[in-house]
Amino acid sequence: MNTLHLLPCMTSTIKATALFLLALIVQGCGEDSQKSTSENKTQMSHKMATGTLPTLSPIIPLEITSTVNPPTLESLQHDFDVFSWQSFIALNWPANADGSPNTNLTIGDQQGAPTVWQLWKESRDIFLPSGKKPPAWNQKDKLPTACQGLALDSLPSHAIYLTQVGKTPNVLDESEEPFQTGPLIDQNGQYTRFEILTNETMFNYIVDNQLYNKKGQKAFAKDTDFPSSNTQSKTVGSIMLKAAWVVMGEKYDARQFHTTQALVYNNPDEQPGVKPACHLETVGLVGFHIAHKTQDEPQWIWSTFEHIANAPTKGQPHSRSFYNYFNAACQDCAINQPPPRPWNPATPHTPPTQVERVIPITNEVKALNAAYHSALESAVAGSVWKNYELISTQWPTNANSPIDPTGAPAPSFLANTTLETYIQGEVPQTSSSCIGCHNNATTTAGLFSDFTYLLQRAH
Amino acid sequence: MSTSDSPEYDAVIVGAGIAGALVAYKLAEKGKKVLILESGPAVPADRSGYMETFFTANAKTPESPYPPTTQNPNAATDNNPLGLPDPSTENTPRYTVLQIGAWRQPQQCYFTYTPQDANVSPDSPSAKFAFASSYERIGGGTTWHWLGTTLRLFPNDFELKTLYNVGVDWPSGANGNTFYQNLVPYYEKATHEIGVAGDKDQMVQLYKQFNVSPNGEYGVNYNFPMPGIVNSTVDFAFSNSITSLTVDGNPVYVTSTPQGRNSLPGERRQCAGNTNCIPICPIQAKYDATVTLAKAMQTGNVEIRYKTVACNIQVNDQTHDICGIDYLQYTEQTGIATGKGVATGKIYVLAAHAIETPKLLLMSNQSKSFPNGVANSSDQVGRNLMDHIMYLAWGLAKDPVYAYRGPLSTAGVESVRDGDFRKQRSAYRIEIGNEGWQWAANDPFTTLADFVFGQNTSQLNGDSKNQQGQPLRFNPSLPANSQLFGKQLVETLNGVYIRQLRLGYLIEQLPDPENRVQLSDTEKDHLGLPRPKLTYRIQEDYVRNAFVSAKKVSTEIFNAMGAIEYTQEAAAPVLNGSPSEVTSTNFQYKGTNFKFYGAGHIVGTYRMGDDKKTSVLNSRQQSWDHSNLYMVGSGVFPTIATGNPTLTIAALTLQAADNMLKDLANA
Amino acid sequence: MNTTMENFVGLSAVLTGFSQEIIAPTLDPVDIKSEYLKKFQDEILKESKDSHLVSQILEQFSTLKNAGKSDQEIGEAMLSDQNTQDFVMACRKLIFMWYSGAWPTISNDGLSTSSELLSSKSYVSGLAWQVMQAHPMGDSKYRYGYWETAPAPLSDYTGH
Ligand SMILES: Cc1cc2nc3c(=O)[nH]c(=O)nc-3n(C[C@H](O)[C@H](O)[C@H](O)COP(=O)(O)OP(=O)(O)OC[C@H]3O[C@@H](n4cnc5c(N)ncnc54)[C@H](O)[C@@H]3O)c2cc1C
Repeated sequence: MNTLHLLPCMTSTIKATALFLLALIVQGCGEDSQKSTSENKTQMSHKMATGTLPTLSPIIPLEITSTVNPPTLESLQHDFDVFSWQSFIALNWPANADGSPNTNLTIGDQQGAPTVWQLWKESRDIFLPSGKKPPAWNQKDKLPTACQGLALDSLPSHAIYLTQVGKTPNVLDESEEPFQTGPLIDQNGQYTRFEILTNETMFNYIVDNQLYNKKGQKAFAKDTDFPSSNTQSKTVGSIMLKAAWVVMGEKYDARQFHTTQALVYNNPDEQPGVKPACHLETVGLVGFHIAHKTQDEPQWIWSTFEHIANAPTKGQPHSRSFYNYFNAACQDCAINQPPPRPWNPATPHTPPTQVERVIPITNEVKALNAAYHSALESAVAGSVWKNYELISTQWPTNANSPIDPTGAPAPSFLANTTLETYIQGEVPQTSSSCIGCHNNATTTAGLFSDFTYLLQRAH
Repeated sequence: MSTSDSPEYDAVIVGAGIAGALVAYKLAEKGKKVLILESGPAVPADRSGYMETFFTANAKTPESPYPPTTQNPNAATDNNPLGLPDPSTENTPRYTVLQIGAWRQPQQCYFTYTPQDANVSPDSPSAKFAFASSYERIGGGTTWHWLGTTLRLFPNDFELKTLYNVGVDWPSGANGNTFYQNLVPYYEKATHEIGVAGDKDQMVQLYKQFNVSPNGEYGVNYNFPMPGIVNSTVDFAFSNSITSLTVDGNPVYVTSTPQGRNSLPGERRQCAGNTNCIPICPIQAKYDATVTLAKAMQTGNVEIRYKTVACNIQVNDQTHDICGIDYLQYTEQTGIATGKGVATGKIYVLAAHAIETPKLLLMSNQSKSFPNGVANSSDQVGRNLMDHIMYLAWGLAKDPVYAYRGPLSTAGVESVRDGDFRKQRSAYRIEIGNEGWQWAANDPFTTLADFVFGQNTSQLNGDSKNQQGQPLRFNPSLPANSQLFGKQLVETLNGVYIRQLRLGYLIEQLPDPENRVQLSDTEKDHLGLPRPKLTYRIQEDYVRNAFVSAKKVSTEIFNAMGAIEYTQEAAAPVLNGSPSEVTSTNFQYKGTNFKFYGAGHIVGTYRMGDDKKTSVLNSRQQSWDHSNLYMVGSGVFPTIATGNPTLTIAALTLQAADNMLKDLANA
Repeated sequence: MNTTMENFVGLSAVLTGFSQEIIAPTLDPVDIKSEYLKKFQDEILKESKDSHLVSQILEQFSTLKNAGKSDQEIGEAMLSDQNTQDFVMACRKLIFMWYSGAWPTISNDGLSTSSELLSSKSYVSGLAWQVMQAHPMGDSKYRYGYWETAPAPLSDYTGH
């Protein structure tokens, strides 16, 4: 009826062309010298074919590298999954004091050292209760009163790496999953803790547009449009992260986790009845979301990683004797059920959540995980990062669809067992889909907030 | 098995809908220990289970997402074409919209009915009908599938008898509008509990028109918690073209509806217009009672027992105080009872909605002092059952209006709700539907089948004429019973769907003591509890006159818009005949056949009043007969009034909770 | 020499009036076409008891397509009286399934249709929601307030 009908077909063409360019550029940022695209392509497929180890690089990829022409759903899924792993490696690279990757080290060196992303901005330091302008990128807001007595000098000796980069421990002030779905209880009966962070690009956009308070959001009066990564200018666009941490001790062996010292804070704003309290704890990473806005994926690319021992997969045999969130000995534990209210992270002991993964990890992702685990092991023997696995990557298959703002995401559903424990599954609208859900995120003024619920935290 | 040694609570509440949850929250917030007995399953952590059931249900009725299942297609037989489950096999059966047609068949319908008199004429005032509205028995109750309309009633609604000499007044009605004035602060609180999005200016316009307060002030210094939800393209089609009309002296204009849905993100998500408030909002942008229930549980002072059915209220024959509530428990919907016990507390609150509450009272007939049932010395329990009976009208607009988008309804005509005409006929409000002909004609599927298979159920693809004699074939250049494909199918379906309009009139039914809930003598549920037996009529010409008015006004509205009306004349009522022959909600009046629909507003079966001889509760919502027994919910309403009931339920419940707190403090 | 799936999608596009890129895009994470093909094969076999009917239908489509016929010509030929009643009814039911996500049963008197949904995925994939420029009831991908303004043009929904 009009010329627009070509759009769906054009999208894939655009994508293919864009990727062609990207392959050049992204590779150019890496440590290897520049290679031509065709060389790169042969090498990529060669690598996968012969089992040559993937490269570990501190450089965050700006786009995916297409390996098959014309691309298929499966080949692109693979390319996005590689993008996810590359991002994970770069973000978990040991950091210098200024937050840049320490290129004298490789990922897995100095276990327990802060990684690049841990020096990013925590949401509590962006959206201040006063609504004031947040402190500069490399500065923190003052700690919650309850945490103030527990300053750095009381840090135990094994927290040495934090002091090395001159950093105060992060404040973990969240103990519930989104939309009041509930807390996640570990095998010690304690609440899992969460934090959300943004990179500097995203932070700057919030500050520059005064989106850190309600007044600023109202005055902004238009849809939010965070900067995306740009392969031409080689700039990193907006990236946001969500991390889930389990408090170490008793059943949890700190050597199995990427750990850090954190101020574990019971936040009275979370639920009525919660009293402020703060403890300095060693916490271990169990879940990790990366959302990255790229030029060709305005719906963002959503990568999710978990600790390998989180939970067994529904209907599959148990492969481990210990799970972080599953107890094989408990026969009548209800699966994926939050504890009853009242919810309060100060509760001395809550019956552990019995978690199962509902959507199995695909064989393709399993193979990719194995390849990256080998690379991590060969870089640093016994690397703790071998204990982390990609679950999947969600990306828009039709990013510019004129009728579907979610861009027809693939896979249709994606959940992290520590971050979307209770909404795993495959029911449209209600089961976890990163893009599907974040598509409805708005500012406090009710306007589209570009796939992040963060801006709703403004006061 | 028995848990009669359970600790004593400050309050025992029956039912975890909005009314029960609000009482629990307000008492627990003040440190009172509360026990809730809830007959249905627990609120699920994830609504995916209900959503999946909804998505795959063939008939997407309000109850379709919820247990027990509404329909089992595999169980369909010639005699039971819809595959309705047998209520006697269920522990918490409830009435569903699909059962309406099977109202005379107790193996398919939970309600039983008193028999029709022999040889009733089609227009007889004493003709009996099926009740047309439904409810849920699950944690969170019926608000799972309410629409979310949250209008206040007008002061005049509370004084129907004094002002218009029909029906009854609400308590202290003859003393000006004190009842209403006392309720206003609670209306404001209720609006906050529910989280209502509303446009104050539009309310002020109405308040001026009806002279509610001299300056039209809608609550001094009061505003809604959230700005109004934006109107739909469908609403604009009406508001732009109907302002030249008047109805019985009232101007006709469109008012944006205050709604319990989020226009801004808050504790709940912002409405994304899934066009599915009924049967289920996928993202909980719409308030439902699970929100209040969660707050109640968060206090740490509330215990709730699910799958626990209250079955008898014990009375101390000396003091007449309530001294315990017996309950039965089950684990499987069709399994045997797995537990029983007695819940005891200082006060007792019935919040099981307007069918199950009177049923429970009537079942509780073991006390010598109250042989007709607890709280029933007045013999009013179960009587005066009411609903907003609905007249539906539908049509096709001249230009596209783009139906099927946005919340199911975002606006209505409120400007015709009151006036001197209320001496002659029932008042109504007019709801504008955003869902095309989904409710009216089961679209998009009916029109689809018509143009794919050459049928004419929608009247768009044949030689049908409307009641005004206009031909209805959508595309006169196509033959009747066209079977289309490709481009022509696309253009035809598109042309129809994007023009669909629907109006619904919520007509005020009068209290009729003979319209009542009793206990069935023969039919039981799977726990062995008697099922309701209903008598339901539309006796009064006063009410029937409103159908005549609604029909006329619809035609005027569609004409003013240049739309073509497709409202189908109802089939002639069949009142006497075999259970499968009889019609359920069709009646004849002044030579015209009408069909009424239910609004889901079940009202009046334990009303409050000033006189213990003619009411069940006093204006504190406390039983006249038992000082430690309260009842909340729309059963307390003396009349159904002109607004959807739930905001008023919430306001009255908050008021009652304050009364309970006073009593507990004095105890 | 097209595959069964290619013919099935091609025929479906012609009969529904939607473009292939909409009903079965190259990158197709939903993949409703596979569910529909299987249902079509199963039901048509059950209803017609003719194990060749589906392949006959798809072959006839393929022949017409390879002969360079237009969509209109192909549709007319597929639904013409020249074919058996079962053949034509199968094609019409295919249209109904794509639009509704449900498999239809025509009443004995031929005057009405009832239908049974295949799955939640098929319900939300129904083209009826697209042809009305809206979204499945219960599954909108749009954002707050979209209902205040007119939707994207029909061509965006049909791909034509
Ligand atoms: C389709 C539809 C649309 C509606 N739309 C609107 C609207 O837009 N605006 C409006 O104001 N109202 C609307 N309503 C009406 C509204 O839903 C009800 O007024 C409201 O939900 C009643 O709340 P309640 O708490 O009194 O009862 P319910 O919500 O029905 O709760 C009663 C509870 O009691 C439990 N129970 C029952 N029997 C027993 C027993 N024996 N033992 C223990 N527990 C028991 C039930 O399981 C249930 O959970 C609508 C209703 C329907 C059906």
